[in-house]
Amino acid sequence: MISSSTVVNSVVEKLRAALARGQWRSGDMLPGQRELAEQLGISRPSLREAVIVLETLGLVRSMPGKGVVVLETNASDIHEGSAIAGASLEDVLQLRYTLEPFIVGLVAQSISSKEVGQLRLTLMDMREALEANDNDACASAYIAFHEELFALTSNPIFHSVVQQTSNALKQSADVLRNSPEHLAERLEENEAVVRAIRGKNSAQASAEMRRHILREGQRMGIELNIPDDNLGT
Amino acid sequence: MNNAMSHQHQRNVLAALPLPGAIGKPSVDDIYPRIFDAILEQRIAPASRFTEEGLGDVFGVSRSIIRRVLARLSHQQVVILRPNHRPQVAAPDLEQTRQILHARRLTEQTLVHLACKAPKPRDLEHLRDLVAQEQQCLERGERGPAIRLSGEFHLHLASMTGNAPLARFLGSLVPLTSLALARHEIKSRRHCAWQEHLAIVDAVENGNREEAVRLMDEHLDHLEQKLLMAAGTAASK
Repeated sequence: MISSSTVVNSVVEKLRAALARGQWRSGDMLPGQRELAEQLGISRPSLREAVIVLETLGLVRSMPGKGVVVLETNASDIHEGSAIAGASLEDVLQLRYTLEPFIVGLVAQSISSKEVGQLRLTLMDMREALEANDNDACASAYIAFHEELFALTSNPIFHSVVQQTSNALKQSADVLRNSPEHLAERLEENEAVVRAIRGKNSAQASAEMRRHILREGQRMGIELNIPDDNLGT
Repeated sequence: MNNAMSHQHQRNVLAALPLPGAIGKPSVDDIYPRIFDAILEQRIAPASRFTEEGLGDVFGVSRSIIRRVLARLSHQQVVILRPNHRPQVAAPDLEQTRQILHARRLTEQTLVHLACKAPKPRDLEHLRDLVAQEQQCLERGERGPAIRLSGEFHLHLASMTGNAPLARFLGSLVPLTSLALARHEIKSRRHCAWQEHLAIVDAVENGNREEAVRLMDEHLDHLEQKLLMAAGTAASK
């Protein structure tokens, strides 16, 4: 269900974040296509498209026969694409609480049974990792579940927000790994979300996601500052 | 058309004034509102394709400035940049508009709630200044800039909260709303969004969260009624 343009967008965001972090400086050449495509886990055609988008944005230039050179850019232009850099865990949780229940409600309305099957498989990976006490794999499956779930949203306006929260989850992956006692709870809460989605119960899916994020805040010791009547339905 | 001409004329007059910050070559910040206004006033038509060179000629700036303005507009989802295609102005349909408004409601309820925490006098002053400019534009019949300023009000309120990811997300919703507003010739011109904006600033200044959230909600209700009604009429024609 992930269209190629979603793949391209996510690659654009990844590369843009890497440029913003200063992984490459102006004048540097990006790694070769094969190497970069492997690093990012995508096909070379998708990478080529992503490079064209970055070129249109004026961040890089393709030099035929040589490779892709990073251009001098205004750092703030790049940072517009990755506001997550200066965000606290609290900011991200607030963002998630505000939007994810709504997005998951939309997904519940439009999801196919095949897509539900994929989500359940990922949760099974998480359960297996949990039973094998493999915290790394369990944390990865949690992040993968989040990405798969939100990749199902059909409205492009949510793609940037999904990308941002995914990046934030990856940055806080240590927190996930280092609290194995919480992984079982996370799994149960996610299973409740998927059960509601499977029943095409939009309101219930939203409510379960809200509960999950509130619990996530409690586990991290963050009290969310949110309007009382923000029920998001 | 006359409107657009006189507006253009006025912009040129403004550009000729030796205002601080307006000296020297125009920057991305100078050109961005002019191109966005051109889109909002449909001097650049929805769904039309245009070229960097063409815009550079019209605004008398280099392609690199135009490219960066387009990059900003593409972050805001107003302009769609695709490989091997000319830039294109976005045209959200009715269902997308509905989802944008819903997402705005959720986002802005949280944001206005956060903004009440410890608003800085400088920020409140800037908000009031934006409202005053919006009102002046409406009095002069300059609808495009009034819509843009109205959007900037919401975005500044968002930036006051310190939650960068939420503010950034709103940054992709507000310009799209502006685009939808501009596309539908709204019949009821007596909506006076700026008065609702002023009431919101007062509530934020007084730290009255419940009131601020309620006012924002009402304000977005009015916006939604206007937009969906206008879109519905357009669709049934």
